[in-house]
Amino acid sequence: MPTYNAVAFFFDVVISLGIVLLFYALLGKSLRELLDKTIRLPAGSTFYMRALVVVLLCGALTKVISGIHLKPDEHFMEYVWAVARDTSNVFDNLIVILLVYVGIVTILVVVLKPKNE
Amino acid sequence: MWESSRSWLSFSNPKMSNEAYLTVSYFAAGVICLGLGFAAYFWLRRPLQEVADSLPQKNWSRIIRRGFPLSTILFVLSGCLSVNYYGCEQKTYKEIVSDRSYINKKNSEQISEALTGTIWAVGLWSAILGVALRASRRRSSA
Repeated sequence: MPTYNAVAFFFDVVISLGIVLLFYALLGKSLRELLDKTIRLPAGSTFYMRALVVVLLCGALTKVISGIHLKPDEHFMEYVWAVARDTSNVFDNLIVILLVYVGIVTILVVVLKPKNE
Repeated sequence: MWESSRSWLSFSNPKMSNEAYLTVSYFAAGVICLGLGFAAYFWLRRPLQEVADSLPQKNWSRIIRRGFPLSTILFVLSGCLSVNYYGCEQKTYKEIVSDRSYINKKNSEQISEALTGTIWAVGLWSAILGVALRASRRRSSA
């Protein structure tokens, strides 16, 4: 068993959390500024920022939580491919989630008209 | 006392019966799913309530405050409970009970579906809040 599966699962989780952190670090600051200008209600911006974290985390974990179930005699590269497949699924999921999120923020910007200072 | 704690700990014992393993793992997965739903709810509750409080229509604000926890938990539970243990290959109960790796796979599927439910709930409430913010802005600018 499953020691190798557990190690591969650990890598899966670490990589997907790393991707989420990277996305958040890249988007967070400017998104917060845009939301502050658009919503003009700190609680509203906080809600949308937290919602982003929740959907990114759930979107990443939902693809890796099923774990890796390879037989103990599988080769090293087969574990690597399993992790790569899961990582690819995480990317696919996060891209769809980000597209939907960007869509919602765009609608907010259009209907609430940000204040330009 | 010692005996009773030992019998409780027997759930984590690999020698426990397959039937008990299925029951315990099913309900444990349900509890984890519920925990995920509550975690998402408690994290988003405060900002959502503040936005709801800023709405001029108090009834709408009350509906949002009550509807958010309800819908979040319902989405999560519906995802968790939607998992079919019989599977596409229509396994029999005996086959399911005797295969622990299959049970583990189904447990992770339950948690995965609950996470998807959380995403749906948060997405839905983001859209609802957008409409609410638009309505309150229109009201205040009028």
